[in-house]
Amino acid sequence: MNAPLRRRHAAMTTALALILPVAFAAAIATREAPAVARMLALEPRAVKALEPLDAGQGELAILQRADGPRWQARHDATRIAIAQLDGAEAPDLLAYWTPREAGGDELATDAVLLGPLNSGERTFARPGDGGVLVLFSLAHGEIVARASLGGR
Amino acid sequence: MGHAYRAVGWNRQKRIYDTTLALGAGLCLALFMALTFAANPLVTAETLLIRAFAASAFALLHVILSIGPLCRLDARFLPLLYNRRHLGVAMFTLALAHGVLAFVQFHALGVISPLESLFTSDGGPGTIPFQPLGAAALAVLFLMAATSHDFWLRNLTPPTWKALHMAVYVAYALIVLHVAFGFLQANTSPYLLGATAAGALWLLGLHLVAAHRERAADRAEQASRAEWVDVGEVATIADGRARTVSVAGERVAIYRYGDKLSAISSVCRHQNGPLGEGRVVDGCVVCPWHGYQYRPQDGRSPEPFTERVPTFRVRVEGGRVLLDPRPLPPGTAVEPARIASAAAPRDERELYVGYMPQSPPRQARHTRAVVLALFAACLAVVAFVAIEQAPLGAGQFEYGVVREFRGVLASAPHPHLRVQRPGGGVSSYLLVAPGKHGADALVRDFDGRGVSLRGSLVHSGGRTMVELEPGSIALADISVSAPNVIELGRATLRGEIVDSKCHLGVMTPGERRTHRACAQLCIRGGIPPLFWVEDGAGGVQRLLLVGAGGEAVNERVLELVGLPLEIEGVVSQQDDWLVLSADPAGYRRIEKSEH
Ligand code: HEM
Ligand code: FES
Repeated sequence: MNAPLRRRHAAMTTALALILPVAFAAAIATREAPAVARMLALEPRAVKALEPLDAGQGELAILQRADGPRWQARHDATRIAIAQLDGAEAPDLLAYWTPREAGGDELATDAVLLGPLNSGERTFARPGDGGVLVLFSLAHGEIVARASLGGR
Repeated sequence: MGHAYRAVGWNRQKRIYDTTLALGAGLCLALFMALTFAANPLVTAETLLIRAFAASAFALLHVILSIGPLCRLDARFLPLLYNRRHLGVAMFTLALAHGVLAFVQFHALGVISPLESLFTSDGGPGTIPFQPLGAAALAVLFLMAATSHDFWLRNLTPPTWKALHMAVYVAYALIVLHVAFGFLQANTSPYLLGATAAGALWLLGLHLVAAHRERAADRAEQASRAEWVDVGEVATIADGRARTVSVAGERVAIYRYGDKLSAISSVCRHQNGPLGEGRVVDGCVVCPWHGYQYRPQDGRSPEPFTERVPTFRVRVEGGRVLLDPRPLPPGTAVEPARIASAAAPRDERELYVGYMPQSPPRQARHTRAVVLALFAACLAVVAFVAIEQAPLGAGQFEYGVVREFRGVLASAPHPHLRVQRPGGGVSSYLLVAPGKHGADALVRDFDGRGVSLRGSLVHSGGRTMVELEPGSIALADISVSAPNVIELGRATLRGEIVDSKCHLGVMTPGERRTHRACAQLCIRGGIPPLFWVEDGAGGVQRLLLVGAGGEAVNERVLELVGLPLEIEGVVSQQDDWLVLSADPAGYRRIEKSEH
């Protein structure tokens, strides 16, 4: 490069060396941590809050959808605790309990709604002995997975 | 002065250069997308592309800016410089793809023009919009890419062209700030911050070291007043090589070839490359940057080329070289000085000439090693960014999948469809229109009525939304249970206002600073705002945000969207949704010191 260009080049890199670190530091200094909250007990009250089943308590049933996601249901005489193990969520997923095994794609008419399943583990009161746990996506209008809970 | 346009001449080395470049860029894009997808299977294609293009362009920009000083420090890097413009154009193409996709993704389909959105959103007290910085950088890069052809180089003259292309430093600074005020605000990994800073320090360091060397060379400036200047012993100049001296503020190359000595300006007519660092090949001085040739005795390029550089008079006296520092007009023939003793030191350094079919063998090995190292560095950088970026949302959008839904429509505070759950209770699905628009206009005539409608699902964490297909709502004989409203009491919550549509799955991410402009546009367009509360341990609550009287607050919260906030209000459960009612006047920005 010729002399004027070399001088211009030097001036630009010097300016860069002076301005950039300051501006960068300013940007990082104004960086805000996301607001983190203590989670309030805002669970919808329609579903009665139950003592959750302790880990390892109760019997285990695994529910699997043909094309992937799995859920686990731990159950004892009075409670059923359901959690998704992997895979993508199904839309508006509701947990039902039916007294008898009923094949087919339709939800049985005597199915009892336990409640909605969203992220995390949910514990529901068990409506009766034995029976079948059915996961139903209302938005898709289809049964996603089911598992027999066995008698006690 | 007019200059005819001449198409770029292709040759083997240029093809190798460009193939290597395309391969490198392709690998970077593929690696970034593969790693991001592996860790975030629900990521949208738009995010994958927007980020992959950005990360690859930014990595390539570091390579481009390293080449100049590396060549000053070691001539064996020169083959990279040869077609550096191709790197520049490739980087611009990647950056353009990123910019255009981001522009469409975050600013199109809203209630204001995309350009207005790009330049006016994301502002407000204490925030610096980062997207206009990217747009400014893109404009600078565009100017450079558009003038990269030799046609412009000749038309603008090399010094003006070079000066224009130094704007790359302005572009670089704008991009670093674009990243610092944008991506790094939402992706808080200290390693990402460190990597960005390390990239800048590497470039600044290289430039400072190279500049220091240059200055040291110029400091040896010869006293220019004298008519003849002693510039050293002839015996130290290798055959076919030059000594460069600085006289009267400009550099002169004194070339030795056989028993002759000639002096020409060291400033190449092409891009002002350092002619004194070239070599005499077939009787011509070859510029080390792009191989332009000049005859040493008259400073003219051989036919059919027409470039000329100034020449200088030289003498040899008692084994010493004397130079007349007054330049002669470009192309003036000067009788070469004769050298009595034939002994000349050998200079084994190879000179790379990009239009020759082969690179010299040692040089070729070096170039291959450097290119491999650069490949590895770029791949490592994009992989690092892909791994260190914050996790991308878990929402889903069934784009292109249209389903039918049946329920009772309600329009306040925001349109939603109440759907009967078998076994009791109601699920309610928020309704929005396509693009960044609420559905108020679409549902107006159906408030409280049973309907069937069609649309695509958006859902996350048990919250469900339908993007309506306009015109698909029809009255239907449907009834659902009465609304179940339970007041849960007053609460003070900390979180962030997000637009429900992007946040629930249309965009990943649909929250935080990088998404702020889009969220403002969506909320402005009538998409219901949510208050998104996280406990840092995976617990999430999403509350529908309304005013103290249950009314929509969209227009009143725009400046607060996407920032950490504290809101005190009444929480109620309405069917399956939690609703936070609070007067926007009381929403409080959480100060940095409170965290
Ligand atoms: C109109 C111009 C531009 C717009 C609207 C724009 C917009 C954006 C947005 C919205 C993001 C955040 C994306 C996300 O977090 O998902 C982003 C990130 C980024 N942008 Fe730009 N940008 C523009 C120009 C540029 C240019 C010219 C560059 C130069 C290389 C660039 C480099 C980057 C980089 C490196 C990131 C960080 C994300 C990553 O590395 O993947 N942007 N930009
Ligand atoms: S600067 Fe390009 S050939 Fe000399």
